[in-house]
Amino acid sequence: MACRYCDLRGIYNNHVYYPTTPPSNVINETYNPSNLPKRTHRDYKTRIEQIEKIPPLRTRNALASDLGNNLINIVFFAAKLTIIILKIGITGRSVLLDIKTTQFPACFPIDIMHLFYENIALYMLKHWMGSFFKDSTLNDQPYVLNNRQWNEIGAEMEAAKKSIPTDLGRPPRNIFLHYNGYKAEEWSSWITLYSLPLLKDRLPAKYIKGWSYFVKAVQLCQKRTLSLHNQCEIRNLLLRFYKHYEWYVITFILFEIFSVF
Amino acid sequence: MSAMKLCFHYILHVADSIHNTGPCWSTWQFPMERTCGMLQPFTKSRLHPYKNLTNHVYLLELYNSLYYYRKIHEQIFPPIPHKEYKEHLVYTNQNYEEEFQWPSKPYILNISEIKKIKNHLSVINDVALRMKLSVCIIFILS
Repeated sequence: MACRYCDLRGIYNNHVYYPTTPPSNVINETYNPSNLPKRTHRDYKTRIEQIEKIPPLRTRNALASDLGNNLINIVFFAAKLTIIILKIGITGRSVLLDIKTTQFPACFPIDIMHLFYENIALYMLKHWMGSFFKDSTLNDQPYVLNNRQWNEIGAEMEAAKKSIPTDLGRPPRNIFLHYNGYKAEEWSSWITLYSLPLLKDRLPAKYIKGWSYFVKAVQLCQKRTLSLHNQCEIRNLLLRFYKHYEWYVITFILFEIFSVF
Repeated sequence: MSAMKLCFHYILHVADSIHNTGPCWSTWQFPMERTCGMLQPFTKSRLHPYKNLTNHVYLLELYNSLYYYRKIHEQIFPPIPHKEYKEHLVYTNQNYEEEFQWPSKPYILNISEIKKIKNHLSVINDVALRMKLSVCIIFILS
């Protein structure tokens, strides 16, 4: 469990992954991405109480030595604690809870700079570059562009440098050469301004469509003021993008299965 | 499956997050990163970086509070003399508060330069008058 907003359980496979629909060989719950089991402030409170019932390490040790059979008791309490932590997804009480106005998941919003600009944009780029997976057979997908195409894209970005008004932020850099050094602001303009026109006619249309949901959502997120309608739009667009991405993943799984045979 | 990283899951919570704490710009990390960027050059010591940083920030704040002690502040940071521009060297528009000031530098012309300027301006005489170059022309006559 790692999501602070919901009780989604991750799947361990060298690393923890968080699909809403688990692959068929793993037993895990299936979640509905538009209706996740949200955690509330009250959930957090009751869970913290649950943890606090278990005596802390030092008293635990004292207690155990009182009881005589030291080792067994220590192991017992430690195991109990780990089981509860794994089950409820909280390791302890935060001092911030002393401030009355803190509402637990709600007061800790997602930072789109790190999420959208520096993670998702990079991962999607890696998908399209065919360098996302370490296993190169998985990287052979219909949406992967070859180096020649990426060089073209990079050259086009470089060529547009001088004609970009300063209002649009930093001038574009060749994404193929510099994507490792890209700043959050550059990612932001890559998503909202450059990615769609540059990838159009290069990526297959259905991938462009999926990505365009994300682009539209990011554009809305950057607005100064958001209406309720905008909020709904963001929710729907991101959900669509998520489903689109999940569909990517299904193709990966099929790939994995076929490559085994 | 290994493509379902946690960040792709967080996408689903962005809308709620906006609902709870307002538009993204109000909670994103850009200003924080900027502050970190400002603090970074402060740490010079390798042995006690945090102590060093606190001292620097403290010192900076002391300088900032000097604004409230006029006399000392003016001794340490003498006010930059305001350059006075003549009216014809400043361009303003009544809709703007800002003004464009002509880049200017005192320069003494030698006689051949004055001659050339005079020759050039004699064609458009009234412009020469407006630009107050007549002084030079008088100078040459004498």
